[in-house]
Amino acid sequence: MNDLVPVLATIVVIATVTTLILGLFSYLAFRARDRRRPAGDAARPAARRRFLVRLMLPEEPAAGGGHAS
Amino acid sequence: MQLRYPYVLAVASVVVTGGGVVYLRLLGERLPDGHPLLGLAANIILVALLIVVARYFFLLWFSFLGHLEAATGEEAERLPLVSIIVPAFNEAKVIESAMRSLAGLDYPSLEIVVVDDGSTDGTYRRALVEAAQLPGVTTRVVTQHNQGKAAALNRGIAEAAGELVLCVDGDSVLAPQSLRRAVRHFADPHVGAVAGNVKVVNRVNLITWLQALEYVEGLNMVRRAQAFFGLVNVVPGPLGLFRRTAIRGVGGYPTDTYAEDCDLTLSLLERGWRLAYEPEAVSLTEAPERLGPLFKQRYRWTRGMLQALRKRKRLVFARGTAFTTRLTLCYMLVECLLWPLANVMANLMLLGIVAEYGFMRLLLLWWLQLTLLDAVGALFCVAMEGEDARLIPFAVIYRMTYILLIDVCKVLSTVEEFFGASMTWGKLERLGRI
Repeated sequence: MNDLVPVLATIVVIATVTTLILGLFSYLAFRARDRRRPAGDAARPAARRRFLVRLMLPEEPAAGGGHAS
Repeated sequence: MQLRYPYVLAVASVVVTGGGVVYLRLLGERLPDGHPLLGLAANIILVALLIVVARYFFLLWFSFLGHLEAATGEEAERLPLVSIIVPAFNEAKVIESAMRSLAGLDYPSLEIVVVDDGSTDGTYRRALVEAAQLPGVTTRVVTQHNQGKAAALNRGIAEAAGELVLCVDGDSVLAPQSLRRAVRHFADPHVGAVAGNVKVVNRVNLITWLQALEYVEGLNMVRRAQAFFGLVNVVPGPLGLFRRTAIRGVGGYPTDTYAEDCDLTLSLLERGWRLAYEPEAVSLTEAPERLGPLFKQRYRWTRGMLQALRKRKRLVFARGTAFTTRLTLCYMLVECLLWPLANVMANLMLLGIVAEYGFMRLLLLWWLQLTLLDAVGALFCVAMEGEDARLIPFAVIYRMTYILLIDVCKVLSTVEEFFGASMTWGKLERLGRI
């Protein structure tokens, strides 16, 4: 039993240290990724810049197909 | 595995208190002499452990009493119209299964209101198609520009015709009996809302199994205990049933915090409503499967709760604040702020002792005691809920790894909230496991 205590204690120490370091670095990594993303508003469709813009010819009828809203 | 939980509770209580006493005795005998700082540290640890043991003891007993009360309740005599509000932002992978599960609820009079919050992945179209295929259930699908979850829920509540309003997440899948069991609590006119039992459905790796244990032991046991006093402090997003007059009376979901469910719950408590918990109202939810998304979720929860608490800080000291409101706010402050900080500090202190004195036994005993408490709690909760017994062994590493990780995240999130760092909603990607 006395031999077991240092072994178990060592496991707990290593696990605790590893967890604390993992927690810290995971948090920093998550925050770094989060900051690299565009701000919240940019993710919204209304604020997103269009990649393609539909051009309407003058003679094309204004009323298009049904668009659900 | 079905265990007889009254016996488990009796054993659990004895083990919890007995373990604490044994621990104190062991510690007193083993401390080396001539190190006053070590003695001080040991005493701090002892006090912390006593608090932890007392907390577990009360949680176990009151959750047991809450469970007895819920189990002896009768079925509802009246089944009023219930409006189910489903806010959905980019939930295309899961919206159909969620709608089907809602339509399949064992309840005679319900309507479903899906509010598409400006999704860009075809959620709206899928919801429309699914709505047309749901037999015998009034289903409406509305869409709006992206304004956030709280605004989407409020839009749904404004559209609701039911006397009761069931708010769920876009990925929630409910057990068929959930609504019928939850509605019975409204026979008491003082009950303003009922919290449901949220369970992790995707138990596919270590992180999700540990979350499943956390939901059963860390969240549901606490809710059960709180429900005994009618003071549930978070009616969760995946399943919350509200009296429509109550939710409209507080102006719907607040839109100025990141934990709208917690914020709304506190508003209801302030108005004097009783808040119940129904263990048989089960909602299955997807849990994050990787550490990054898990931290993203907990970051939002922590900061959102702190924001909700900060809005109410004057209530803690104000005259005329109800005792129950004051109690709930103080409890939340401890759970949200002090508890994680104490856990991280205790571990750092114990590591410091190991580094300085090479005295590892203190850390081992600390871990053993907490693991014992967690194992007992897990055994009790698994027995009471008829949950998967495979959850119990995870209690061995639950405290040492998972809770410590989450507490590190909570402490750092708290620091960011304190300094007012900017934040975004942090939408989790759905995995389509439901």
